Amino acid sequence: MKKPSKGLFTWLLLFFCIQCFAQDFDKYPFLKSSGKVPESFMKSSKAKADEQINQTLGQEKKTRYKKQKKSFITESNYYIDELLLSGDVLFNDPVGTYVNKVMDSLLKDEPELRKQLEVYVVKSSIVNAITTSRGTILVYLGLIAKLHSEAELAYVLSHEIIHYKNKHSMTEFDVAEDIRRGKGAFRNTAINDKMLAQSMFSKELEKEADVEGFQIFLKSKYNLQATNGVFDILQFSHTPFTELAFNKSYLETASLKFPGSYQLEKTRPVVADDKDDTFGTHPGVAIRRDTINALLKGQSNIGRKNYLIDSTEFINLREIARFEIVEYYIENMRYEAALYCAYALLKSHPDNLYLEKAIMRSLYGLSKYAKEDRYDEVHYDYMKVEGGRQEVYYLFSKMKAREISVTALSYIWNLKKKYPADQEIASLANDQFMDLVDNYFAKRNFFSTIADTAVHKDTAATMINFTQSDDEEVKEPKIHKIARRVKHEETSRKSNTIPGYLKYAFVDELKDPEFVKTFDKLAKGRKGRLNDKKESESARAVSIRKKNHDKLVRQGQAMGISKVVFVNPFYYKTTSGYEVNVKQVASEEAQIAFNTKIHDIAQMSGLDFDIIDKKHLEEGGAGAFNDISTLTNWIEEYYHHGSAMHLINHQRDDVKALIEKYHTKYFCWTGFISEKSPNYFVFTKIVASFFIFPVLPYVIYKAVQPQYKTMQYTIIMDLSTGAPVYVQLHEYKMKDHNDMVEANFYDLCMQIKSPIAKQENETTKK
Amino acid sequence: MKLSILKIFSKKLSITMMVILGTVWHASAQTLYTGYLGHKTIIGYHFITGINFDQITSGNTKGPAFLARHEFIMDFVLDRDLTFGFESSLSNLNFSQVVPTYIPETNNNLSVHMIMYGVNYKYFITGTPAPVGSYFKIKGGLLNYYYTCLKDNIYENKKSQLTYLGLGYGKKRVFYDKIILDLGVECNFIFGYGGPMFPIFDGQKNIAINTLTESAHRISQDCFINYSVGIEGLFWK
Repeated sequence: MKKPSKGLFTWLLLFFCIQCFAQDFDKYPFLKSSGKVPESFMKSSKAKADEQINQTLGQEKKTRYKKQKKSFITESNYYIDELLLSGDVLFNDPVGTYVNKVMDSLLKDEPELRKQLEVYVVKSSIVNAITTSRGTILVYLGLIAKLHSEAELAYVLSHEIIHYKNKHSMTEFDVAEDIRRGKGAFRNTAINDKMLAQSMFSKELEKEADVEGFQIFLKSKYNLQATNGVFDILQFSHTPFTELAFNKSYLETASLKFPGSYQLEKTRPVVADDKDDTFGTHPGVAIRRDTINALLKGQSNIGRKNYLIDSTEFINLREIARFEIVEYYIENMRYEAALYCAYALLKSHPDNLYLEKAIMRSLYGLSKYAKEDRYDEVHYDYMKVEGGRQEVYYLFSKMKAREISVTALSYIWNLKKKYPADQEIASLANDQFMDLVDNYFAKRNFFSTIADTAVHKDTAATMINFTQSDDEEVKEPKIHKIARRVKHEETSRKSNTIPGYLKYAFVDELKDPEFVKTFDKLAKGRKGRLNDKKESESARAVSIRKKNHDKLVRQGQAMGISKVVFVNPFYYKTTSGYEVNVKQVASEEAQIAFNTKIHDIAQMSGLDFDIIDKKHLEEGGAGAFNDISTLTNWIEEYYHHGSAMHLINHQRDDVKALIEKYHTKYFCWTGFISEKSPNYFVFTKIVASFFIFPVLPYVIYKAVQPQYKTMQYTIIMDLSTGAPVYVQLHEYKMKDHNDMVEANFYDLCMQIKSPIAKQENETTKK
Repeated sequence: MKLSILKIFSKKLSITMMVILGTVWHASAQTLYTGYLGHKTIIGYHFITGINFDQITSGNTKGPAFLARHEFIMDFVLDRDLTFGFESSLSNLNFSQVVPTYIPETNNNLSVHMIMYGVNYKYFITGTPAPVGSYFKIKGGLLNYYYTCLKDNIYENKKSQLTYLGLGYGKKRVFYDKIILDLGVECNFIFGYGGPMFPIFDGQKNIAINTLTESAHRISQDCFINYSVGIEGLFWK
């Protein structure tokens, strides 16, 4: 028997490795945390701050600004933890694990330093990496998405290591305090000079991190030229991860053709950001590049590599980061950016379901905001962007609400045909169709069933009309020009004239019986729906709703919910005077106590419940952490849109999975905010009380006491429909005493579990 | 005004019935009120005191007079912000009196006892579920007056019945999920003064005695604003 060759084994091994790292991008599952929850996610901020204070200040006999430093450390720990537990920071995820491997290779000769550092990735489009004073390095996915090689990542990490090793944050704090107090060289310094001094010092630290970071990088086996790649990324950090011309034909069909004037003849070239901002914290990129290039001279690059771990894995993980950026843009309503990035990724992942759905959601979002006259919230000025993506922004600046609606429906309907079993596509198609019929085209006979055969001479638009020339600038100030252009776009968007090309938008679709049937069905019900809408928006209906709401607040609302999940219960203690400050330590303690209280009281009320709380993570609680992250993103998206906008929230599969996991579709966000404010007019009150002498003891008591206010906020969402079941904000003019919190929370539990009266239930259904 | 109120209060039984029926009806209409962690019955004791700084009380020589009242209450949570309760209080006021014109010697052992019993409603204004937070109170009931007086230079006990209406403001806080601390201020309006007075005797003594009863009334009424501190317990879910 012939032995299998070594080559076959190698091939199989390689194939297996690629399969391990390869991601099924078609059903993109999003990055998740996994495994053991790191200690820094479980430990309280106070414990971490105390530990750091002991380490940083404990051994020093005489420390400058000791009190301020303690406060700085406490505050910074609190805010870092807010970020760590926000759900945007991941642990033991594939990208983070890879970044940690790079860090291991950089610090393989310094194990003690390596132990002090922990590296995580942050789900955000920002092109950045930051280091905290306690050794947490956060690398943003926006940066990873733009990296060309592993070596570039290694140099970024080397730079961040120096920030920690040289205690830059504490040093900067000392100097900032000196400058603020006008000590030493900063005595009698003008405010501008102070700002400049602080900026200069910050730039010095950055330069130090660049130079000393390069020494760490030099010790590794990474390609030294990667440093230039990093500076390239920094120079173009304002651009997306790829530069590609966008062709409007992607959104067109055989019959839907946008006018040529909807496309720019020439887009603005991408310009590198080389400015050295006088008051900025970082030196100009060109200066930094020159400094490192000077160090590179004479250094041998022989035997150095771009990848020490695995190039395939790196490229795969970078692709994951890019998919995450698309998701991030959608969640943050940057629909045009999401559309462009998804379009760019589709070039390397053709027919990718996730990307096509991302474009669908972007069009759907743009259409909804345009319909609600809130377009400016999601549409960005095309003159402020550069490169190929400018086409996307230009296209949507030219379109009116009805055109966006038609484009969105055309895209979604065709996607529905492509993926008939997909529930999300089906529900969005239906909603988009309803919008089109109710708001823009009541009857389908507007649309032609015969294709347009006329030859259009509409050519691509140039930016000449709105770009600046030196002569024009003299005649008309730039600000007036921009205002004129924005006003022109807004007027044309609100205009009622219907562009001729829309007539032929659905020539192919109108041959589809399902499309025609849906159109006719929706057109038939239009009058009823509009009447209902008109009725619900009438003054009488608003007044009835207000009365009902007031009644519910007064009498309580029986919800008849058998099980609920409390998500991230919050508790903030604040002080207000000139500004509102969160009392971090007290808030954290109160939040931990509140969680216990919720548990006890909900149990006492007989409510079936679960709590998933970021402040109570257990070692094996990665699942709960991911659930919190998913739910936080979901509810944030809901708040971004606002309750007034009828927009189907992002129905991600992982949101639906939570309903099955927790055996309920009801998820509750609740918490308290307690505010303490100074008591004003104390003397006047006491003097006035002399006229009603017996009330004097009470007035004195009230006068010496600060004023308190407590707010309780609760929202219960039905995750299956994305609609709120209960939304209340109660304001109590009293301190957040234990009994008050307990009584209110018990009352909430009883409202949740109390069965809805039969009659009330029928009214609600109606 | 005074007469019409008296008229109404003369029909005590019908008013009591109306109050109780109205309360029961209101309670039965409510479906969603929780009390404190499910506890809806409160039983407690209040110590109430009022100070009379007015020294002209018919020759009262002791200066400020303190009225101490011991009150027992039983409240029921009726609604999300309303409680209904029964109250009964007992007070005893000792005072001395000199009426030189008629009674030359100082009478040191004169006293007046009051037993009040009535009902009250407390409306919680802070928005928290009753019985937590600040409240306004309205109360009403009967006041039985027992006083010692002189008749032919012999002390005799007499009784009269008055009606009262009161308003109050207070604050309740719960400790250890069971105990309530109640601090409040209240004022009572007493009606029926001049009603069933002490029997009329002959000239001088009659005047003296009248002055005495008057002084008892005045002390209780001049202690118009009373402060109360109470300790209560939460019972039965």
